[in-house]
Amino acid sequence: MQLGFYVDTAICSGCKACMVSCKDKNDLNVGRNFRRVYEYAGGSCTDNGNGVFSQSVFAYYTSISCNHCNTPACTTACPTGAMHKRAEDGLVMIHDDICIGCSSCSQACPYDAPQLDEARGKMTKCDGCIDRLNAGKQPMCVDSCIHRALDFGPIDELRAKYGDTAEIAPLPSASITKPNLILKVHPDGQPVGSGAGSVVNPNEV
Amino acid sequence: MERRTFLKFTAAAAAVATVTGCDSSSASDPLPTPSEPVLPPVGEGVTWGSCATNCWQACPLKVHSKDGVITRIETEGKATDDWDSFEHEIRPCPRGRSMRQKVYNHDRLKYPMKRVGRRGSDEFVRISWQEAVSSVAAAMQKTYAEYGKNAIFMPLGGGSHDLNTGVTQSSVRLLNMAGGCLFFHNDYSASQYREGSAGMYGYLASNDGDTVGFWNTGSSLRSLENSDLMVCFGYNPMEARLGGAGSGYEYLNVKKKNNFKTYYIDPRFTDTAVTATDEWVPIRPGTDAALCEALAHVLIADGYADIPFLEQYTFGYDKYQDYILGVTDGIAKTPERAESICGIPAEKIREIAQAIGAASAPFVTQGFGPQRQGNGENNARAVMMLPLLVGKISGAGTNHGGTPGNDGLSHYAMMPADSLKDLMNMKIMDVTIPAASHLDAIEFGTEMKPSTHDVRYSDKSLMDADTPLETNVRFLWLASSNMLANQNGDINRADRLLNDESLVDFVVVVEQHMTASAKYADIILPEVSWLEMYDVIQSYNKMDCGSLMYAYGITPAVDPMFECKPAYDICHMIANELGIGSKFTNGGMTYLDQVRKVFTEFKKSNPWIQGDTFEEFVSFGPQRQPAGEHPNVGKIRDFVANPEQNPLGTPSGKVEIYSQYFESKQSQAEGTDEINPLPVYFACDESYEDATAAEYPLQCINYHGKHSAHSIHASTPWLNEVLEHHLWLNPIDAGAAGLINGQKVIVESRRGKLEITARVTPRIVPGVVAMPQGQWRRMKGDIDVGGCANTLTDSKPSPVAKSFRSNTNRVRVYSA
Repeated sequence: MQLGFYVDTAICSGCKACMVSCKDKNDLNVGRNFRRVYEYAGGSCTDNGNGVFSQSVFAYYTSISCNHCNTPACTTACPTGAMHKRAEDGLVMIHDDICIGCSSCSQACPYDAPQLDEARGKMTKCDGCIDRLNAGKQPMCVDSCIHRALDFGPIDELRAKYGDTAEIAPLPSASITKPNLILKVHPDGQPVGSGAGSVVNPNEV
Repeated sequence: MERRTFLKFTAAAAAVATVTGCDSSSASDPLPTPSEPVLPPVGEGVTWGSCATNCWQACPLKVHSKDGVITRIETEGKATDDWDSFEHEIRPCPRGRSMRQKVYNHDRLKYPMKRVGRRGSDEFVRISWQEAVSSVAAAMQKTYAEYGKNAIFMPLGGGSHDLNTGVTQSSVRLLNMAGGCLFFHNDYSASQYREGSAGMYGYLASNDGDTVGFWNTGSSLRSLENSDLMVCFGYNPMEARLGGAGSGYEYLNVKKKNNFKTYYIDPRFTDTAVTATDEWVPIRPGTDAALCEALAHVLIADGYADIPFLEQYTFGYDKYQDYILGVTDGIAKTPERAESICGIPAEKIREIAQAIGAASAPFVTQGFGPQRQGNGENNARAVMMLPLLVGKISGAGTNHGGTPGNDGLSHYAMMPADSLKDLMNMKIMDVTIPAASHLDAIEFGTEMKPSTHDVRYSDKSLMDADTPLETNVRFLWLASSNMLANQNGDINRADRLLNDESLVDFVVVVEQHMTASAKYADIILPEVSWLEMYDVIQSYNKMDCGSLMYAYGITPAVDPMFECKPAYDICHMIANELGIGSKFTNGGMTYLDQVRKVFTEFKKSNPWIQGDTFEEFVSFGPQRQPAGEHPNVGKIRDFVANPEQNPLGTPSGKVEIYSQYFESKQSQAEGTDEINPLPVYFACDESYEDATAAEYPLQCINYHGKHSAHSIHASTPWLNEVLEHHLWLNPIDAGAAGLINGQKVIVESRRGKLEITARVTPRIVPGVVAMPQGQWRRMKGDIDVGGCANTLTDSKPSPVAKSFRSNTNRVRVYSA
């Protein structure tokens, strides 16, 4: 079985309840965010010179954690084997005892999922809230989403329900790591690699 | 169990010790000790807590703790989560989710303290509780003796908002029993909407003379299921009311069910517009009334105006029509005239007007941004003209143009009085000033009169004689209120006045954190946090908080931190010093007794609530019901059905397009201000059309962001990280000033300078910058590096409501 996430970018309002509840659940200090919400905006609002505006502005939010990819870049980059993908549920996990905190995995991951715990010199990341899964619950981020924009579960079941789109700007092409991620694309969603907009909140992710 | 037994023992021992150590006069009570305390859990446990942030959502928090330490916050964990049947979870927003950090924050106040340096210097020393309460009581008695009760002022405080037995209630109760004080009417948020809407509709379904609690809110967002058009002016629930069962989630769900067209009019392309994919109509701040005049012109000229309706139900339509068509001043208020003022193309104005005219059930609504302006009363009224012009102010799917609301529970059924009417009759309510006026009252209170500064007396003879205040304000009581030196207009003026110790004798602050205002205290009394207290919590649906009505009881997750005390106990100690302890406690009721009493009263008026005791009530967790229709809506419907039998509370009994209330205030207009009985646009100081534009080329607005409904989360590290404090700046303006995304910039107005991070984004109109309000002032030289929006704002009041014009500022922005 392979587990994965679903994100509805059409109804995510960028509230960050998922980010904060994840920090609360995992005792994450400032600087470490297992889940990150990217604000992607583009177009323009201009004064046409006569005091009258025209606009072509769009914006949307994309809440992203570890996608527990089929071909994870992080496990390939890990020199010790600490970063590994579990056979039973496809979750990408870290053996804390053999991680040397070299950050190779975080440099390799195109989604920025591995986050270094500088105090301990160990890499950390989303584990799908494995303790909650074992207790029959959803990950904390899913249960905290105010707009119910997130879902988690066996990826086959999620794809049957939501389809198999896994790409939207500013995310990388799904062909790189084959993420277990399904997206509902916002009506203004832009294709991967689009130059139509940019991530306007770099300090928040 | 060992700990529980120990606590019981120490509580009893403390009670004995206090009795023997206490003044034996019957006026005093022993210090409170719960007889059967609902104690924090031992070992690992879960308790119900509340996020009492003043967004008004009152989200329940499931608080997990272990060995006396809070470990995490969770949601309700309901088995069903269905919005249609009102069985959805009330999920807290990031503010509620970060509550653990707010409890354990570095700036929690731990002990009573007194000031040792210059006022505002942030130099304090720890003192005993006894010294603290004695000095507060002595200062109160001295003030009463020398200046009378109206020298004591308790500013509006929203820092602990959704409580029934909290710091506001305890403070009001104490001050009322001690001899009274000067109080406030209206508030900081929406006074111009309140006064504007009251000028048109009267006080709708409020109690007689209830100017403190009334809200002329309109239809529920759920009624949008029956609408075919929505027109929003500065209405942004997905940032301002994003949590739990609130209106952001409600708007999203109603939009999913009925995909009506929405014109979203705002200077910002907000998260509401992003999420609900509304059509953004960018507008310049403060020009809503100019847009509405042009919309009205189209509605009238194209024959959409319902003339028989207007003649039957409104007062002064003829004058309004003459003004709009240009009969009065020779200027027709056409879309072509308005477009360069508000920035919206004439053809778009025409399109919106025709959509309103053609809609069978238009839902026109507004948030509070358009009215927090130098001309805000008129913006609020002008928006309310639109549904009126087409005769669609009642009936399925419509709204009267005001902010949405529901029926529901009220905060005011609480311990100082059993009803709002009783509260109005208390000593503290016999003279009030507008909520934002306390700096004036400190500086020149004795010059403030009903006719000039909207001073209000309950005694009609004092009103008729236009009596000035008897004294300046000399004593300030801040109950979880950061209004003094952060959330009021022009905080640099507040700093100047408070530094002059000949003006204010004493400032007492009851607080959880060292806020920017707490730094101006003479005595600080540390209060327990929301996760260390008992209370009855209820939703407040009357004010745009969604259609899910709910209530629950909270108990402490952990014991009080350090020497913090519940506000009830703090006020009881001061009451003892004043010799009114027994009166304050109703003959010896403890804090928990009082909470139980509030529950009993609450249950009487809400028989649907399960649980016969407070303890049982707590054990049920959040209980819910669909909220009904706001009584205002029924009142308008009754008026439309039979206007003679059901007149409105205006002088004419009709909807006053020509407001006689505004007419009576015309002499109060100052400078470039204009008070017009008609809801017309005028260019106020520091607006888009202000002549100082060259020196201060940008308009600066502030808004209620996702980080902090007001200012109470300003020091929470997680929130400051994931919701950065930033200034929205259009790429055109950034380019002109040579600024890039993410860099530190200085924003400067005529009042002051602050430092903030630039967010270069197309989501704001050119010529305008915007920042979330609610960060705390922190001066470094002459620059506020905390980035409080009120470093920039003015304390000059709005023309009619004498309220806060926080969105009317001209600024310049440059690299830090």
